[in-house]
Amino acid sequence: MVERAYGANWLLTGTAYANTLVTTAINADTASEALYVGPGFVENPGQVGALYQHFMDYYRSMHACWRMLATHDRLKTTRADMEAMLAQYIHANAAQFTQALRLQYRQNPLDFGLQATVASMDSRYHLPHMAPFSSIREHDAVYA
Amino acid sequence: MRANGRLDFFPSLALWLVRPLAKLVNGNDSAYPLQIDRVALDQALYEKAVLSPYCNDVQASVQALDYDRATDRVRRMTLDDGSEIAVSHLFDASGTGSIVAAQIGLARTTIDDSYFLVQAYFAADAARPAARQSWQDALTVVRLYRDTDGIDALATLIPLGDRLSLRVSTALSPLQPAASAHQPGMPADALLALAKASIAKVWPMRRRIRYASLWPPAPAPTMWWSGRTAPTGC
Repeated sequence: MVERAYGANWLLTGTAYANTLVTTAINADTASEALYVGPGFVENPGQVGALYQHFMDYYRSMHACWRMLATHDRLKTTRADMEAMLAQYIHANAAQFTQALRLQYRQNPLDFGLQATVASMDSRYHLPHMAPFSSIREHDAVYA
Repeated sequence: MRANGRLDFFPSLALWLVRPLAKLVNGNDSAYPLQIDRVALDQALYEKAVLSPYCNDVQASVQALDYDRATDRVRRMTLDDGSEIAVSHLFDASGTGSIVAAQIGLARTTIDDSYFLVQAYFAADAARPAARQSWQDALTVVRLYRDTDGIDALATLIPLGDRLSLRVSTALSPLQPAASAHQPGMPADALLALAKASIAKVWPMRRRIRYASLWPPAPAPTMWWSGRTAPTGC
């Protein structure tokens, strides 16, 4: 992966930024996201670029999930291992979805109940096995 | 491989419930109603973009960028036909060989240990049936296990119209005869053969397809590598 996904007037999408175990997915996923990123990036490259970078950072956690699916030893994998794997997969998807919402509704986060979504995402009660990121609230400074 | 087998327990659900509803909504019938036709989607997106009055489609490659490090801005790009384009904003979707990352000199890091992808394309031959078959509408993803398939790997088979892409991802090195005592290497051809054999086990269960007779192999596979240290010959 490349050290950053955006600059003052440029932005990397798909495998131009990072490649994962499932190449097709990162191309489709991040290229679709560019649909929302494009107009906003032209208006405000700093804020939208930072949000886009967070989205791409969370995408990295998907690679860890795919890696587990692709390499786990079925003779040694326990039910707890599988539950942890699925929990991480679900969380990675949901966290990425949240970042996508932040991009799409950046001008009015209340449009999609974004604060409630973030609060739900941040609850360790619902998510016993967190993705490789401790909290998605760490990126809230972008809105300050 | 086992996961693919389990999915076959639900054909009636797809046939009697999901498929008719999807046909009602989408207007076309498909054996995989919940999946997206990725090739058609890409083509539709491209055509929509090109038809926009704001789009000027230039069939050329970018040779160089004029990048100002102080302001972190790309100011101009030079195409391979010699023409130059002033840049307001640049969205780079040029794949792993990103022209922006290379020209700006962005550092690259790995997010995982060494991983190898062996990829081969298969062309359709005259024996291919005229009617489109349902398996051509969807990916086939097969997990290979060392105890039954001889290797821990993930094989993905992607139908691309008149071509078929077979990709095998593994932590082994297809280029080295023996990476270590615990991870013996495997030639790319042998790896592909294993993947084809494993997929062939899955497909007859699903559609009774004689895979080998439909798709003759391409002469040589292409290999991609991702990792911390490049193996010899890569």
